[in-house]
Amino acid sequence: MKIGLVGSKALLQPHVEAYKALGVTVTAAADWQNQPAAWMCEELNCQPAASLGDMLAECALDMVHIAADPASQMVLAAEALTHGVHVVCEVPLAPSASAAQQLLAMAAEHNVRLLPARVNRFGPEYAAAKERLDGGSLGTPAVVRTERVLPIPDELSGDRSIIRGEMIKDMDFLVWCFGPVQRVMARSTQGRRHEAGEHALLTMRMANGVIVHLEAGWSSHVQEPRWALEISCRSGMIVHDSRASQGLALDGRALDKSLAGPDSWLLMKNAYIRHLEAVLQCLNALDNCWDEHSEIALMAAVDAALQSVTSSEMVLVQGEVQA
Amino acid sequence: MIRIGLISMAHMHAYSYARALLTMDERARIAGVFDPDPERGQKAAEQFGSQYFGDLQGLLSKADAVIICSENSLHMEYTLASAAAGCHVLCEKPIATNEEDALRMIAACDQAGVKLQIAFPVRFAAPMQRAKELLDANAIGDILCIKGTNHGQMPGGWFVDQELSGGGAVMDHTVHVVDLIRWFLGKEVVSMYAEVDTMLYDVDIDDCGMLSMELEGGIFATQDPSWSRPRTFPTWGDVLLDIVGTEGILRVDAFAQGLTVFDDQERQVVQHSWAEDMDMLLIADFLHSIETDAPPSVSGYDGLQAMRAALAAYESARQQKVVSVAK
Repeated sequence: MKIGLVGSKALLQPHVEAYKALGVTVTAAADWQNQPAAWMCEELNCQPAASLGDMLAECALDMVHIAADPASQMVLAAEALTHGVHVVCEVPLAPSASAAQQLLAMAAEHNVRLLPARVNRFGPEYAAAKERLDGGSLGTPAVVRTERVLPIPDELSGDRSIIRGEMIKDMDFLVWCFGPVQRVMARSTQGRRHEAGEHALLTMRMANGVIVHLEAGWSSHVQEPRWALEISCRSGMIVHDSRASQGLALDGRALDKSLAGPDSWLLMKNAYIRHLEAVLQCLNALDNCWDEHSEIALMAAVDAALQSVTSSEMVLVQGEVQA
Repeated sequence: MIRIGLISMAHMHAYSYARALLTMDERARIAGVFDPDPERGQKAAEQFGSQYFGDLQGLLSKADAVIICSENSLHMEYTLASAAAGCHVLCEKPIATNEEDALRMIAACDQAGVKLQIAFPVRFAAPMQRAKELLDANAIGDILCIKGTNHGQMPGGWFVDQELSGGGAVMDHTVHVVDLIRWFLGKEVVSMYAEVDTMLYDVDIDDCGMLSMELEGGIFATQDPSWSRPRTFPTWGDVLLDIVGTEGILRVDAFAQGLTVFDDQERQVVQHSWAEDMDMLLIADFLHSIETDAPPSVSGYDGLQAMRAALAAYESARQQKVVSVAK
């Protein structure tokens, strides 16, 4: 399979590490703003391309992995799909549910797959929580809480939304576990006096009745990313907190912290590697292993959340009906 | 020496308030216990070395102040009787189960010239007191939003009887967090959205929910009042606030100060608190307001506003829309 990468360094870097770790050959790479991606090609020993168009014209690619902002992804994914190339694309695929729907229709029309990159589902803590839920011993789930608070990223631009950029990862997990979202009440500091970053608090009701609280923030006041999950069921509860699950911590004023390694979770395969393995397996088998159409339910929930922030009202997710 | 009457032992807090009084025997003494359940009342009176009264007026004639820990729906009746007898009142939260009762309680105590304090012990937890000092000192800049939880285990008993409690988890736990937020910020809740349901237990009352509220000045907050701690959870629940400001984030946990104990004999893991006793600090504060004739630190109006927020949550869930909260 001939693979091309296109996108921003910040978003693609962990995927590049995954390609390297698995020894997967990458044929060509380009920056999202049509610049040759020298950094990627040095890492992956691949051909730098000036643009996605050049890659598609010259490299006979089978698959393109895209990671950029939603509006750019929409354009890049459409270009690749119309060339008859499979696409793996960061979430959100596009700026809206309807735009994502268009892309999925385009993929079907050209008989290729468009796979949303659902890295969070491959995080071992989330996969284990899903497995435990599916096991059924904890009984029916009722109340779920998620948390994701990160330092402000270097590439944060004015039009980015914490809900679309980060909270979507937890929303995807929720849709995976509990099905579509019925209604959303979202509040955010976006547009309010805040030195930078954003903090959002959401309540959601899933169509199956589960009540959810989501928190996400980009903050200059936190040094390390943290994420947490709590699922209360009729016969027990699952709790995960990234701060309590680190396998190794290194303290010492004079120590080089990088000695601890980039991943204090000490995994043989991190979420990005597990995700890439699943992507390649899915595209090689061309079976129904991905359920990319649930992306529309996810995007509809994101759209509703953003609308709720603007209106300060509860918003029913399009396509869902009141209980 | 202030003579304190205990009116009803229905709420478990009555016992910790009584124990607190026993440690303050230079300032106050338990004048007696009234309880419509004679067995429960007599047992409590014996436990605390006091006298049982089967007649409320009998107790009120011997008391300067009362602590009311009855079922929520009876708070109004007992408060009115106490005020009429000239007794100051410390009433367990929520103040009442409806606005009319709460307003009558406030008016009756005003007219009688007695104090009405609502028992919100979490305000007196040392981490909360310190958080208040930090916020007053502008330690994290302007407040943007607050994430609150007051989880618990399902208490059972009259707490799950709508007539007696006025509501389940949302009524039981919303008032604590709303009271803390109002106290911290000095701002009122202006609107409320809530999901409320019964999903965790086979009870005829709400056992879980999620609240999203806006306060004066555009600050927003969420609150999870669910009885979602399983039976195997090492403690009864939590009261936690994450307060996000322009200059920092303050996380305050009223019940974090404890040991985790793994007890093979009892076959359970439990949290053993070593924190300052917030119930004792609450009682000391109530006594102080009587001794110095100062206004109660937590007024009837504070209780009313916290209850209004809880009632607004139920109304919002019924209408499935944002509703305004009166002040």
